[in-house]
Amino acid sequence: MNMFKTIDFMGTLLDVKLKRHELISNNLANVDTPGYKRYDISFEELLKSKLNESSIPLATTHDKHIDTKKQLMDVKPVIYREENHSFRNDNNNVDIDKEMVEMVKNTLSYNIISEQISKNLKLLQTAISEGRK
Amino acid sequence: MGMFDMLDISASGMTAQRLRLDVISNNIANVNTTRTNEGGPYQRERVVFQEIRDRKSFSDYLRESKRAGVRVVSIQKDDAPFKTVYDPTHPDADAEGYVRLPNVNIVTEMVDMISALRSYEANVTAINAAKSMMSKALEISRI
Amino acid sequence: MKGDKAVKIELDNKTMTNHLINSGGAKVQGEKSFGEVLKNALESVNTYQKEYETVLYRHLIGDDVDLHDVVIAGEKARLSLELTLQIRNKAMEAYQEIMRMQI
Repeated sequence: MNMFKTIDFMGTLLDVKLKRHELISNNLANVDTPGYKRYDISFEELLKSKLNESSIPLATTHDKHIDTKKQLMDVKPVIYREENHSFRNDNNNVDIDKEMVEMVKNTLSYNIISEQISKNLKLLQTAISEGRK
Repeated sequence: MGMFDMLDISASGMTAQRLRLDVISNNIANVNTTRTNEGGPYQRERVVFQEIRDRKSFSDYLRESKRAGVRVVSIQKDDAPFKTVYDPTHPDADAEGYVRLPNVNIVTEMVDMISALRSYEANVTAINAAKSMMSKALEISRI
Repeated sequence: MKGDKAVKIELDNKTMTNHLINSGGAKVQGEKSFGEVLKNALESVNTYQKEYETVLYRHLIGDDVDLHDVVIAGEKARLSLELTLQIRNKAMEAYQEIMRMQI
């Protein structure tokens, strides 16, 4: 059944958010470790650039609409390490304040998406049960 | 459980920072210690952190090594020179009346302590954030 | 219409559903028959149910499965089951109404 497509996609987003939290936690745990470089995961930006590069807008004729969506579904998240130069003596490039802000954004994002999934499910539930006259 | 890994990571951070705090406290407590078991004044200690890289979970054998937090790999003695103070009245003064005091600087230790506390709290915040996310996930199925 | 065969079958759940699936029902050119719709619904229930069991099992043995994955899989299994039940109920109602019709 295709009624779960949006929910599945949001589930993937949740997976990414959770992974990001794990990476941020690792960054925070290693905030004082010499030589450590921060980790992060990239997904939303990849989606965005995918949207931008396919010059076909989402809401056109039926065929193309499905095509762009499918392309979006193919985007895979990428875990990366920031190798940029650090300003500290110990070559550690973790900024504790930046990590905290990232964590807040990430947690909020996760909670919002969870909420959306919940609402989406409720909608489906209503559609199913209220089918009776 | 897979999703509890992130809690373990934060926990490792807390443990490491707490150990660092212990060492700092010990330095402060011994700021005036002129006699130790090794003879001579107390030598400042500090922790060395290292990233944990190859923790395995049950299903991990085929995957790349997972990031799993931090640990204190050793406690090092600080080789900075001892302070020398002229005080002939001191029981541990040498022939010329100089006393060697520990190479501990209170101000440095205090700054270090504040940093350790801040890092510790950051890990606690991470755990709370994780808890909030899990609660939210459970709410998905609530009617 | 349906004929003697249908009248003799008892209206218990399982037989009813089987009958609906097997009889196929009226088919419009190019569209799925009702029996097929019901069959697909049942198959998808089975799929989602299996997925849920797999995810749950992996979660319990400590495999790398996140909480939201388990919850979402559970919801999908539940909703698809409910949808199928509603489809079947509707079909039953329609069937009974047809049976009540006086020829």
